[in-house]
Amino acid sequence: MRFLKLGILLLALPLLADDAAKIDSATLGGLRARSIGPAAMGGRIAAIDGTGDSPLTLYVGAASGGVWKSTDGGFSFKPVFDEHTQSIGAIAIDPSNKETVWVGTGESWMRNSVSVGTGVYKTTDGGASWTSTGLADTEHIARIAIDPKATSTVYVCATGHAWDSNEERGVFKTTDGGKTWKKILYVDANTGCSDISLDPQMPNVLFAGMWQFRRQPDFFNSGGPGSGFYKSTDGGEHWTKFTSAANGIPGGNLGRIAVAQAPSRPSVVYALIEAKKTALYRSDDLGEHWREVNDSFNVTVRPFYFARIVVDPSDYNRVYKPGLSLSYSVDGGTSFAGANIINGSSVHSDHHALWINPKDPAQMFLGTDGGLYESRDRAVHFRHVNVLPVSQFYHVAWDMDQPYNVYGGLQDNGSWMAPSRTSEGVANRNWRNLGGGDGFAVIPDPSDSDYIFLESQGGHVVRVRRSTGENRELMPYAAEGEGKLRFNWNTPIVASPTQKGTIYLGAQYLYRSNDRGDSWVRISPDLTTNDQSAQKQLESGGLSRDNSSAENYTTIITINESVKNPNVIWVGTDDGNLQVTRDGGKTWTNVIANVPGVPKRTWVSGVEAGHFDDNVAYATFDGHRRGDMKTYIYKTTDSGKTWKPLATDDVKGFAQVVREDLVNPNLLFAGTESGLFASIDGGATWAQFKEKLPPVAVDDMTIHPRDNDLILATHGRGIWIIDDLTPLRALTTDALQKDVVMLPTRPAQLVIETGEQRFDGDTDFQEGGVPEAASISYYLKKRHIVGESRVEVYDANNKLVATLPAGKRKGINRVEMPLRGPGPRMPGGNSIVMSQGSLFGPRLPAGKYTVKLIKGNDTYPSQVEVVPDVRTNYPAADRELQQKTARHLFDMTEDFAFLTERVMNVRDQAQARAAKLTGGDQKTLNDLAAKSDALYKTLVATGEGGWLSGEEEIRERLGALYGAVNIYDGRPTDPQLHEATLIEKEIGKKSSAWDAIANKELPAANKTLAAKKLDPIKPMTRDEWDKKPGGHPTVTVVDLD
Amino acid sequence: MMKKLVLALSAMALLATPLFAQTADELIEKNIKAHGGEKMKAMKSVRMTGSLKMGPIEAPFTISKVRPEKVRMEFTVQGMTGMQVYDGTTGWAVMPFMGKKDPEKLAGDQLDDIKEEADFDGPMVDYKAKGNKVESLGKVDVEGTPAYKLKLTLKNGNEQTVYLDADNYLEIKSEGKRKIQGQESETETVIGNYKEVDGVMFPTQIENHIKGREGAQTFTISKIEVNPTIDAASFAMPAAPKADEAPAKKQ
Repeated sequence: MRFLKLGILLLALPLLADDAAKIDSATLGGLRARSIGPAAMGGRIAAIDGTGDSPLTLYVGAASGGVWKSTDGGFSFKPVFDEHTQSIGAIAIDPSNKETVWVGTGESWMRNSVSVGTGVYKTTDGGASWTSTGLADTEHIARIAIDPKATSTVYVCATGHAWDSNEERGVFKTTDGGKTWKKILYVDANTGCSDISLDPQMPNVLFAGMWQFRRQPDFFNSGGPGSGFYKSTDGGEHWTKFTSAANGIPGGNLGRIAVAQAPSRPSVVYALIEAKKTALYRSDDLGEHWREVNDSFNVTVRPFYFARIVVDPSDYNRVYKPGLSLSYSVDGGTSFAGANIINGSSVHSDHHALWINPKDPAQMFLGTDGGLYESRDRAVHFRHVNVLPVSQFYHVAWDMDQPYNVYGGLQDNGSWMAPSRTSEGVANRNWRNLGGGDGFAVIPDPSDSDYIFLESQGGHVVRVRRSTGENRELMPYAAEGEGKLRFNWNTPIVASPTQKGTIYLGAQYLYRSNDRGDSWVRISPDLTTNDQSAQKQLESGGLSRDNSSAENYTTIITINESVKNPNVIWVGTDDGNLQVTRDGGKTWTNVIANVPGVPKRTWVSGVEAGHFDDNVAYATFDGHRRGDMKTYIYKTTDSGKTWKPLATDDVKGFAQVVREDLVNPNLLFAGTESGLFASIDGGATWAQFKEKLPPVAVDDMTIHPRDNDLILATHGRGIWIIDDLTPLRALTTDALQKDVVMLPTRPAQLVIETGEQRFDGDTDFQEGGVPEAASISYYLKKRHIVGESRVEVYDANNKLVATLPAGKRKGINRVEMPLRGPGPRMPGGNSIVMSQGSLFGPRLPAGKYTVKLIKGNDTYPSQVEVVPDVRTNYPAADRELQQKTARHLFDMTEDFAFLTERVMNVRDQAQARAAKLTGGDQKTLNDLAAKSDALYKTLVATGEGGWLSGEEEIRERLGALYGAVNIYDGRPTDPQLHEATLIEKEIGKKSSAWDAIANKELPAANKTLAAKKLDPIKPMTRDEWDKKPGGHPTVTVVDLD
Repeated sequence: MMKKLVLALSAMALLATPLFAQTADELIEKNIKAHGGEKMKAMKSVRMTGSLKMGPIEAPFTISKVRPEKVRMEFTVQGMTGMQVYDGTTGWAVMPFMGKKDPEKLAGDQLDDIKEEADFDGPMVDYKAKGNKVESLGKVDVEGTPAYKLKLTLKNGNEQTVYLDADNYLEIKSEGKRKIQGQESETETVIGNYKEVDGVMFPTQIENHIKGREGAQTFTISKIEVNPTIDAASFAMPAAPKADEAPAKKQ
């Protein structure tokens, strides 16, 4: 028995040690990600629900960007679902309690890029916390309906898997608020629910559309014998399937069905039925008899993608059809007109959700592929709600501007660029559109960033000139005998990291251009399987033909040239080939057979040539288009002969991209459907990066080689930047064992300070501001709770220049060190000095600073470096004069504050003493008080009216001058330098005036006081003044221990 | 076999932690004990002096409190001092920065705020008597540190979520949800650098964020006086304009 126990202990010890060494999300904690939008164009909005209260409460579900809540009628929104799956299919607010909300994850708009859900969630506190309530394998949910008379009864319309068969689909019902579910309508494993309608007056009456469909990498099929249109009159216990003969719906195979009852007259039911002849049907007798009412273009277009019918809450004949555009009928569906056409407001196409305010049907919110819109006049005019950063990026790239720009393309929203940072945050207006259609790769030419390569779907490559906006189409054509070129929906365009001006483009062949795309050289044979049975996209769609190039298959989807060797190029294809050349494209080897554990034909979603060894490469594989949700991340060290899997159970979601750090080969990043993951030990262990970043799909990422930022292209939440990877690069597995490890950071620039005066209200997106601060970083094994902790900063002369609150969290901490000290002590006046620069101290001079983390009784030293903004154009001598002048004015201000304080202090003492005296003695004291007060009033503004008094004494002049000199890093102007000498002289005079009082009236007063045996008046000493609160802000730390 | 043994060991480790969640009352009792228990409750007054930092801006402050619910908070910017005071019945403030020197009476949400500040031991101590409600929400992870989560609903309707470190039961974080003139605002507060003064544990660093916004205000307390003599008159709302203006009248 003893032996056994010992065995357990021995076994446990190394295991525990390993556990302690493993990074987790908390380890990465202090490295926050910041969102820079954009919200100028949204991403797809898949679901909306609201209350009719004033102001409105709204919940908006993005197709892959989470749930957003507004409590002010749609002006401002906050994300309320950031710990959960970001793909949203359905939202329903409990009609009896608006704090209870149901969310069905996994949108049901089954396009090629559709994301995946994880079941139903519920909140009972208005979105503050959510509980998973099951149906996790449904993957896609089209609608949730709550029984208005018994709200713990809820119906879920689950569309089910898009890419394979599964049984958890159909209509589900709970009668206990989500604790248990019963599948109440099910056809087969290939058929799911596309829509339900619950009768608002007789909640036992239900309509349901069942949809047989399947998406494949190369093909989409909508419709089949499984599809059907159903009604129940007993809360889903029994269902009747409508037939052509008995009920008048279309015969033959059906496709996707949308259904809606008129809230004001539920016996009127509308159904959009995809069939051989798709049309809108209407019933006036609660579904017993149906008649076709309309088959116009917008009503019937792309039924798999636009399957919603919305009836006006107060008018049963007014019907809206969100489609390619929005159209509506005022005659019960007989005729449809385009909304917002006559007045021409521009609304993004592709509409999926429409919520009409039940209390004011003129107001509505529309969810489109381009975000959310509101109309207040029954869909005539619209405003874009441009505060939702739910854009769906495919790729991201950078340039070398200062600050650098980011570039990327979005699902259905074109190609864009924006600066990576501004001091107040990147706003919608900072984003510039470069191209239209669906956007994917956007690559600035490394040899001249005035030129940008970008594309729209299916390989339509153009070159845009940034300065003029002109663009030139560059798509190569097939040579004779090459067959038709096959370009993926998301065609790869890649700039060579070694040869400026060289770009690569992938069809089924790999192309290279050395002249910015003016000509192309084919450098490979067909690198795909060229399986012709998988090239039938012209027949794709099922009942409704649908070929948008989304099903283009047997194509190249990823290209990566080795930075160590331009002859080594890796290529991955959508049909599972992983090809490498080591001779610049003369010969190619398909190495996919060497990758163990990846099923055949799995999408090679990403490949990354190693940055330190041209035999090293990493690859990700994505099988979700065949229903395989596993995470595949692999590494080779022998140019593809053997591959080692890197993904552990800590990495979730199908993988899109893997990146090796540019400095530390053990630092890896992986982007998956579920978020961002990092490893500091070459992929042996991984942790999810969670700080501020929701678990959103990371489709691409890149590391900026100069600024060391990790830039993420998320498919649903826009662009995110993790500033400065330097600390993470230094965090080794060994370091994790230590209590405290100081970590390096990049040099901090004294960024030129700018600001815009804008008053945009709350209706514009602006986020991701970067404080003008140096960053101090360290790792703590455990949170600091009890005892002193602070960070001290010393300059080159070992003078303490700042004391900062220390970060206390477990894992990496980041402490921001402001590049200015606190402002000078100033005497009080009748208002604050209206010059922003007067609130701060002078800038810290460029140079190296010693940093000390003080934690309890221990001190941990480190260094930070401060460097000038590379864009400044003044010489060092000017900067020195500015520093000198600002420091001088700072000291002058403090000396002046001391003078003022003495004058005021003597005045107050004299007054207090005078009150205790009478006659001539009182007059002597009053004289001193009066003289002091008269002097005081020439030092600082004291007039009535505060900042509107306009009064300017020395305090106000000095404060304004100090502020003006302090805010600009170059040489002060001549007038500023002159004004400084004038004020100095003036202060000299006042100081003499004070000396005169101190030498005459003060001794006289003290003589009087002595005669009366009263304490003399003692002017405050500098030492006493310095000890007052705020005296020496940087050294006030009194250790309480 | 070996794997199974290791698993068994981990299962045993799990058993070592209580199977039943601690109740709110148990947690509050441990929290009070961690703060000094009877010594905390015996304290009659306290004065805390320190510095408030917002980026490069720094302002000295003083907070004086007298049991059961008097408070005076002062901070100074450019030589001008603003204050918020509650004397047990009346709340008032002086905000002179734009030129208004006269005290103003606080009402509504602002009064609620200062009253919360004035509650000498905080809302968890004797919460029932104060009309506050507390709910235990179990053990959670705060930035990688295990903590107990307590939800407080104050008598005035404001909500606070408090996280107690699972080892020592001191607050490490709180989240507040309050109405300001009817508008809801959410704040997040990181609490730390606890130090013992006369047997009472005080946090000496408090970092405030408004949820969803960048930037923080950090209060660093450099001096704590337990049971100082505090002039009762300093809590009373002055009837006349402030002393600075007095000389003009006398002359």
